[in-house]
Amino acid sequence: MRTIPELIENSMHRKREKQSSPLIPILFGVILLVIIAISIFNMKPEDQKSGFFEIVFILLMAIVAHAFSVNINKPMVLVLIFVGILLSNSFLSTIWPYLPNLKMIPIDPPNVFPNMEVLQTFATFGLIILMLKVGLKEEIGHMFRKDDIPLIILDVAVPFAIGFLYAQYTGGSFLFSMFLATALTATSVGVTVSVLEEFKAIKLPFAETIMGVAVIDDIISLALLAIITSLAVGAESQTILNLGFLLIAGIFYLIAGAKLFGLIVENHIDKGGFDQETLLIVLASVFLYSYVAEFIGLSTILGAFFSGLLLTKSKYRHKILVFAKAIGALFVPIFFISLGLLIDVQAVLKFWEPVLILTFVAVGAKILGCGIGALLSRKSITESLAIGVGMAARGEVSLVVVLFGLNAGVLTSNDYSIISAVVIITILVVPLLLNRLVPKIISLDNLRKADQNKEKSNIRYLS
Amino acid sequence: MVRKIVSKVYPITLAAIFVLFVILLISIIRTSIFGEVDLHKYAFFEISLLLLIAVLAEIGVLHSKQPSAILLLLVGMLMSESVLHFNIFKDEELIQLFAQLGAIFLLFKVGLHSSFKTIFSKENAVVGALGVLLPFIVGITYALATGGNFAYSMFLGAALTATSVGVTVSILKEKNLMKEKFAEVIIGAAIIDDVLGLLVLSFILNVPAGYELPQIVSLFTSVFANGLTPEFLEFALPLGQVILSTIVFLGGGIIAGKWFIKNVIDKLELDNMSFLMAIAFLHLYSYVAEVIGLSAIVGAFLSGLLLTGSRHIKNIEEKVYPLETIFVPIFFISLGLLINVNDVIIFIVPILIISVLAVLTKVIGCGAGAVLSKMNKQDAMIVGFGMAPRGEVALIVASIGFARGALDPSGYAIISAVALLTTIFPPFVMNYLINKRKVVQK
Repeated sequence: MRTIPELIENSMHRKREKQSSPLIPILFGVILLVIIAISIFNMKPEDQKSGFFEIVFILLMAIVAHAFSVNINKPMVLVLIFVGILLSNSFLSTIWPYLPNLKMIPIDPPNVFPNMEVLQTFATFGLIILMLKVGLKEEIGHMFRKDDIPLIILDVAVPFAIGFLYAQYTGGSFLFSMFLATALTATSVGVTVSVLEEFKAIKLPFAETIMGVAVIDDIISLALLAIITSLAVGAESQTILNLGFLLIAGIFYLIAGAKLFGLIVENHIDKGGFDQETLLIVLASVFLYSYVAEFIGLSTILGAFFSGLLLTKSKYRHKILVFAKAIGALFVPIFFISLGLLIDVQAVLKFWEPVLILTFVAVGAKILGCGIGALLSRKSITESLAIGVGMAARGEVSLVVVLFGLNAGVLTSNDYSIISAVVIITILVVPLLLNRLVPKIISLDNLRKADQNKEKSNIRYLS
Repeated sequence: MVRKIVSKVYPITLAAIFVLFVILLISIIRTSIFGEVDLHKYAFFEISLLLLIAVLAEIGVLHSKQPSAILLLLVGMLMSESVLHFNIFKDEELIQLFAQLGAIFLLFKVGLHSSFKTIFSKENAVVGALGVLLPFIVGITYALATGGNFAYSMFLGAALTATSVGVTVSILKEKNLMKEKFAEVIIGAAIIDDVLGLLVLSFILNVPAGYELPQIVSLFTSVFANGLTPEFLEFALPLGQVILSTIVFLGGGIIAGKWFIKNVIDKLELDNMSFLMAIAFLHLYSYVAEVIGLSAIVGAFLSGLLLTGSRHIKNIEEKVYPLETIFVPIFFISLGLLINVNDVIIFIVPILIISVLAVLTKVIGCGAGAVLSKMNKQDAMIVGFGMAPRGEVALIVASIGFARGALDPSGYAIISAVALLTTIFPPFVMNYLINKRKVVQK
């Protein structure tokens, strides 16, 4: 036993003298590869380890994706979702028969993530941290403006109407059309926000507009969901009761929650220095607040976002943001990869026609609705286009809507895979389109600022 | 007029809404604890509850001046099923995963804060080795003498080797003695203790189940008489495999890790990316260590130690802190949750005896080591008592033994109670000794 410190020192000496035999590192590398191979192909299933492995593996993939995204100059979110798709069960089992029949690879496709439940929980934590981060960066005053009212109305109305009409046109029932329309209404801010963050555009006016409107349309979609679910289930009195409960609880949640958070910030977070205790209080209250949102029937995303907004009042706002980023580094990639894992590649291949058409409808409806709305709210054309594209990503809320539809028996499992595939594809489309638009807006913004400065200096010069 | 009414009504409605919301909140918490909630949603409640408990414990730390690990353990014990008679924490899988991550981050931090040179000095090695050997032997002997089975005795021995210097260090810091010789020895030797303890643990885990001491002795004697018998091979092969892969892992891991840090991590410019790399590095090493048959924490410690050589060390340390803040408290609470309080009450006599033995062996072992490396007797005593707390590493040993089925609930309860007692009391003695030393110096 005493030899262990010596062993470590010896190996260091050897390294220094550059005479080390390559045997041990090579053996180490072999062990590493073997372990990863065994873990992926699940030859040695052990529950406790597999949960751990999935997280290790996702982290490694996230880093590969990170490095890759820098190389090919595409947003990381896109690469992460793509990695998720590549690792998903459906993709692997689709591609497996076409692989050359090598002896090294087992015949059955591997199930890389057998422990999906734990992964989902981690992914939701990632989402919470992501929204917390976003909330912390926003200013409440910049997000909700009276100017944006036409934008909000068109943002909800146009996609809903187009979705409904499309479903009616293709011969869907009334309830089916309602579900589809609701699924097309909700925007996923998570994806858009991360893309904007990567471009460092989150502080620009159009990004703030997107945030505010997206949050509102999430709330509206959830309310719509509550209505149509109860329609689908059919209990009339229950409907009104549920909806009433959701509305009242939602209002309480926002008003009283804000007050409660104010108290916590004042009495606990801002008192004394920023230490471990403060960080724990912040995290515990954020998680609890999100949980309450989920419990009431609003979604966790909203809870996390609002708690972020409310925490901006704290004097430690920036420190909290730094810490949220560090925690997010572990959880957020898991969220995006899990989005990719959800897509059913086989269903997309099988129903590629409706998926393609519906994707066009979904993206087009938002670009149309939000674009016109933004123009009415006195934005420039480029900005309006960016807002439309930014709002085109559907996400968690849409997936929840589809899931409810499936459970209520309105959607068949085919419908479910088609719509959820469309949801994920819209997520993939947005970063690609924003990739071109955002730099333009940033340069325009810079020009405008430069102009303003010039004017100012001119004025100064003249006076 | 209208404005007047509004201005009067407004605060009242606000207060009413507030009160209603608090009622709603309480009812939600009530249904969450007692009712049936979707497990997927419940995870959030569980985690926020755990974090809130951690907050309370942190506040308790300020008042009681006990280490937070001890308080968290006690709180966990009070919230366990054996006390409350119902289960608050329903999603056990998730908590276990969080706890495992907590243990990893804890050891990672220990690794980040140590360095090869200051730890592996001769004095530290002597003090550390004696501080491991004596408690290990005494622990095993005691357990075997009182009729414990072989697995239990090995675990008790391994748990007694560990040292937790968290409390000791905080006392030394308070008294501004961190630069003294004995402080350096305590910290260095404690880390050596931990590493040796963890290695001992890894070997114990791979001793095939169901063997008792006389059987093993007879196996070894039969080798001398008859050469390699199949029975001996059956016993020794897994063990040999672990020893071999440990050597490859430690040796290869150090060389490959140094290369990786120098050529990959240090070449990165972005802060975020280097942190992500470091976290992935940590997880990879822990996972590999776990699969090989060592435990994940050995890998975590090694990766932390290696990363001290990186130029991003400051950045990594800063960013690991919040992760640690989430996971580590959950780890300690989960350890407390596993303790069956009834067992602690039943086995109070052996617990007390073992605790006394644990303190004595460390004081004698480490003290003798310190005297051997030419420290005066007083400082040697301080080193001995400073090293006596067992703390988190003993708890880790016990929890791993419990998870693998080598320890029964009573064995787990005994070892964790011992860890608790030895962490609470020796620091008082050390404090007293330090004060006396100052008086003498004056």
